[in-house]
Amino acid sequence: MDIREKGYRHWEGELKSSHLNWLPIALNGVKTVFKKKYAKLIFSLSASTFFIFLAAVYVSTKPELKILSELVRLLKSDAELFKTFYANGFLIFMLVILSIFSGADLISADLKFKAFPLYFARPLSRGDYLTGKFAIVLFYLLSFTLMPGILLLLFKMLFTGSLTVSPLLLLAILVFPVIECVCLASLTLALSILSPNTKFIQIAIFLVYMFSNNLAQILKAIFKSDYFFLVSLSGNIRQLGCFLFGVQPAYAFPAWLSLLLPLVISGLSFWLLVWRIRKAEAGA
Amino acid sequence: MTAVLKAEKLSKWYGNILGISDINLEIASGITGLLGPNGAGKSTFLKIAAGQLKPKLGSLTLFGQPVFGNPDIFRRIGFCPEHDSAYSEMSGWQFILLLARLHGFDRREAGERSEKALLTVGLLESKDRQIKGYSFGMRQRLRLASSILHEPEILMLDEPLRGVDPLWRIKIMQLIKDYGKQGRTVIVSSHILPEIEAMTSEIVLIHQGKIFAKGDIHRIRGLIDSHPHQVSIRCQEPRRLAQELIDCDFVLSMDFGLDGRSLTVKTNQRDLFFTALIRLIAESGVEIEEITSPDDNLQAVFDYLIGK
Repeated sequence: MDIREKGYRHWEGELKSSHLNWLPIALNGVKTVFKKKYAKLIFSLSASTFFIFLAAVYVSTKPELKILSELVRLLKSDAELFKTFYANGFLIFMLVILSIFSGADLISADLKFKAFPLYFARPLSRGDYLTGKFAIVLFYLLSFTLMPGILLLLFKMLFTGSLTVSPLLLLAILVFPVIECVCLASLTLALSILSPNTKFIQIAIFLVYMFSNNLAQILKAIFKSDYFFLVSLSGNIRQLGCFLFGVQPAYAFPAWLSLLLPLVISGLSFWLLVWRIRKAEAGA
Repeated sequence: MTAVLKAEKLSKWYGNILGISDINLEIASGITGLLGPNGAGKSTFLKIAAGQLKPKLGSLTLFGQPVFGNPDIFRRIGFCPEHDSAYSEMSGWQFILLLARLHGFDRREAGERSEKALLTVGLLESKDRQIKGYSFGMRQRLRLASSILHEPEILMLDEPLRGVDPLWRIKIMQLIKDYGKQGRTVIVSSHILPEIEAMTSEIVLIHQGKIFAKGDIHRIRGLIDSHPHQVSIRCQEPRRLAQELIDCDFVLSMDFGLDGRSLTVKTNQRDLFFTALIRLIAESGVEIEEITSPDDNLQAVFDYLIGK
């Protein structure tokens, strides 16, 4: 019998799909970002907050430096210290820069190089693709928030010689940076899919950060209401931090409301990403 | 023979522009050439077959499974798109390795397969160069490497020889023929007819988004009644041979060559003509030097079918 009559059988095994199909995309992306020009400078600046707060943790745990604790309000409570670490203006600014640096080109480069067939001609779903890209930005954002946050807590335990920590504080230390980073990462990817021009995306991300804050301040000045800080990216992060760490709210509106913006941004971004990729795939 | 690919009433259009229309097609294992002029719908059909585009109407299955939105089936498909879609900042090695990893191979196997694929397309020596430094032909070979690294059961190649130098053109054609001989399914599109003719006689002719013909090229030619077959006979005594043939009903016309040593006969019944010709040669003793069919080739069939 002719071989063509028999039909070719390449593999008799069972086809299994893995839940880690996105991992090669993520690993490759993490390596690529690390090799970028200015990576070390941006990482050093982002990490600088950690070292300042490490000194603060040291000061807060030493009775002989009590005079400093009385001068600096954030040193008075652990919740205030960790909230300030995660939601201070400089770190939020650096997180925006990190998002631009690590995520602006992630999907826009795929649009530019028409690279969707590279992924969707392999055993990868849309979810795998998005998860892989999302993981790259999230990795870098969490590396400068959650990871140093945990390190600060460990150093604090080390300096005080005590392993006790309030469960609510621990939960806030773990949950707040995740919400903060998920929101920024999804916003970054959602903007990244809008254009193959990476420069345009970089500017757009920075404008969202700047414009939302400036708009909130202008509206507050005109209408004398703190509620307008609900449209501010950094204002919401700050207020959410106050809510989760149980400290005095930064603005005069119910702090739980500030959960809305990250949820809306993440939800809309996810919808936009899925819609755009489906559209690109369907060739509409 | 079981169909590997089955398309039913397949249609795709982009806004007001028609890609393909109402295509019903079955393709079995072996090499099939997808032929058609630019804009005929070859790439659209291949993209739908490779799961890169969703059809507007109809369905397409591979191995009995739907393709679009079915990632598992891509383990069995190798797709080489027409256009470049590589990250130009990466080296050839990094690029192929990433694609191998995306197929789910572990680091060691991905490395071995990448090396083998690059060796097959002759890029192993320049694997560490950035893709942006590759020539057009090298990028084309890189695309081919990316489509064969997982040794797919069905290989879909959209204009795989475009921009490739003559030496590698022959090597790639041989690679495709080897794939076909192994019993795999290869669908290769081109608008360069001799390329397809050198690889297979099994063709699908697509024009204006529709299938014009499918099957063995010689059989298709036999079915075209509107254009009589041409048979060119080279011999010492063409006029004597013409005398013998003139009474046959199936001979429509005859032309003598300017060199006085050839005769071109047009017939509407090729089989009967050849039977009669053999008998005449035996009876008359005319010495024949060469018999050729100038229009029994892909170009002629293509021209007849698209009405040139």
